[in-house]
Amino acid sequence: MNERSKSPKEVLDSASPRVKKAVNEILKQEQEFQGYKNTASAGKDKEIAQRIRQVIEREYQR
Amino acid sequence: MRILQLKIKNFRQFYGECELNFLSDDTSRITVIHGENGSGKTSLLNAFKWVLYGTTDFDTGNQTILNELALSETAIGSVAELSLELKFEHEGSTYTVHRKQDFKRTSDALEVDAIGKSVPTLHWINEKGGTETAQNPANRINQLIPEQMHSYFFFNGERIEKLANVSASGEIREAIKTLMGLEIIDRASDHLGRLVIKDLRKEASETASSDYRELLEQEAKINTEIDQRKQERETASKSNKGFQTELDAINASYEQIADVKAKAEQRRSLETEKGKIEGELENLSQDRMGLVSQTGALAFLNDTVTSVSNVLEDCRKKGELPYKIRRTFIDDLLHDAKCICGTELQEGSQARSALKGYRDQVTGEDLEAAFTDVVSNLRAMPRERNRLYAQLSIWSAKESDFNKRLKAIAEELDEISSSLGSSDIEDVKRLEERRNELTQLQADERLRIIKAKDAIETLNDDLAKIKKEIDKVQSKSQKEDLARQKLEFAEACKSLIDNLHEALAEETRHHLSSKVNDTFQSILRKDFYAEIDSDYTLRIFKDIPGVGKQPVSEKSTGENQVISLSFIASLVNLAKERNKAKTTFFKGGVYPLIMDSPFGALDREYREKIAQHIPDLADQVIIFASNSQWSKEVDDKCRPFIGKEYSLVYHAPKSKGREEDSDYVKRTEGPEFTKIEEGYLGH
Repeated sequence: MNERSKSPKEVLDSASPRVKKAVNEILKQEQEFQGYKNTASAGKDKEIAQRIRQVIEREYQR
Repeated sequence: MRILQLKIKNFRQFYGECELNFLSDDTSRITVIHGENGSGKTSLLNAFKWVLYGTTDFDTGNQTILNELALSETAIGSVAELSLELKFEHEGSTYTVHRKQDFKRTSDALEVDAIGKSVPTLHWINEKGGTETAQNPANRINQLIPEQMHSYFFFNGERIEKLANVSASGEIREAIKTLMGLEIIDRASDHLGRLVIKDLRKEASETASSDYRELLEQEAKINTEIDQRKQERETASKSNKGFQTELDAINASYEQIADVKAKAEQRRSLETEKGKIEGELENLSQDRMGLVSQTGALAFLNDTVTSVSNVLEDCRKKGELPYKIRRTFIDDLLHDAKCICGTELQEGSQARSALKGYRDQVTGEDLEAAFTDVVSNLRAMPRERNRLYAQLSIWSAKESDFNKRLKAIAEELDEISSSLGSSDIEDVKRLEERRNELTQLQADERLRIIKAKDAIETLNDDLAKIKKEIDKVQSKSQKEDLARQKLEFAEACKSLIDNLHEALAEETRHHLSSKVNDTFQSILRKDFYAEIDSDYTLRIFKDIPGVGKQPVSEKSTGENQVISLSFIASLVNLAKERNKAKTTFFKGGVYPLIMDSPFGALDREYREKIAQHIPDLADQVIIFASNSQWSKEVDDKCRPFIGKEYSLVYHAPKSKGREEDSDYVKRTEGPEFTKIEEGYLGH
């Protein structure tokens, strides 16, 4: 589906609450890492990837 | 953010300790710093950058930021200190950021080594009067005013005009990204795709049955290819922009050479027309594809339409369609138990049974309606077919005209290029050669972009097919099922993040574009429009009577500067709006505008127009201007809003023939330095 013409609200409305919640958590994790952006390294990438992975895993542990 | 004070010690031209104070009330929102060339206006602009981020725009880096006079007074092996302190108010708190750098003099020549790295300190007095200190000052400063955004709030006049060039579209896109906090979304998508989904796919593959595994491997392979193509597209796009920047510079150089200026302008106009025609041809092609896909089948249905019409007409003549008696009519008679001929239709009577038999034979109303629709559509088809042919003929004629004009333009452009290439002026000849090279290089990069784009489309189609296949494969175990679910969930998250990114960027572009236009029109005339187009380029349009909105191909320096300034003012304004919205990401803020030489080389008319709007550009405006830029008209417009004024008095080394003092330039025996004096020393 072409999302080009959709507004951010429409995009969010068309997503499932579960996905929306997970995305919100992922973005929060990324924001916490914002301070590191100028010193990005493979190690830091791995750390944030692990945190995102945990957000996904949590959805299937409940 | 309101800037309150800047303290300077031994930074660039500024010897010893100097202090600048700033006001920002309604009638004192403008601070003007007057100074001649070389007196340190650009250094002051960089002082803001250095104290906040530890970097400057000087080509020589940080080695030369120490004042030479202070250095000359430092013994070899001793240490000289440079420091800056900026005090500002932000959302009720008063922040003080301090940055210091020590230098050790290493030789008789004024050479130094920086001792360690400069580290900022940041403390603030909060709304309740308590003092706080930042543990990670760089991070905190970046949250208050992102480094990527600073160049829009603290901007150099020389750069401003360049924002209106096509090659600046990347910068504009980046500004929008930062303003909306889209970098976080970008990174989330990257981390999900490049790391998390890749891992989950590997895991799902390990637990999967052979057919599912094979499909996952194919999917991974296609995804890798898509990433490669995207990378190729990105690289080609960057090279293309780089070439465009050089082309912009060459075009600007031509305009400085009187003998070829007219030809260069003619070429620019022809190239704009060429671009416009190519756009029209593309639109035509899209329209034709649309029409053919909707009604193209009519061209091949002539015989079928005739034969179906004949069959239906035959049915109509025979009375089979539509049937003469309607079912509802018979139902009504049965309900009344009396025929129109007067026969009683008692339950169980022969007459009633006969009528019921008729009712079962008649067609339903749906079929009748369908019959009517089909007949009326069939009647319309020959007319629609003629309309299709007529429209296609009109477009073909238009296309042919466009192609003829394109051919003529190509010939004219060739002529101009060959005339400039064989010019007697060596500079022109050299510029033209390079221009031709760049045009060819740009064409190659564009081809790469198109090829990569086509390949991505094909790969995406393949990916969609694989995904359908994956959906059909049943999980063979609980473990496999769980791994699949996690993978699909992560993919759904990435898809939402990508769509959100695109929607937010588009929404901001539209919003900002409308703000740019409002400011642009308030400075310039109402029949001129400004917008940020879908490629993130600042464009100007004008109304031409009888033709409508048309792009302005040859933007003057003044128009370029007005549209760029409108863009920056709109960014400041949007940041203020976002501050009120209190969003999750970059929360915006009220920012000042600090402008070095905002009037550039503008003529009087534009200078006056811009000056009139300066007080409205931001809540606090700090202007660095030379005397030649600070004309009487500018002074008249800004004077009612000026709160503080400073003059930079430049102490320049004496040289032969240059020994006279003036208000702004004093001659000295030693190294150069600048003193800051409060007030305006006048012209």
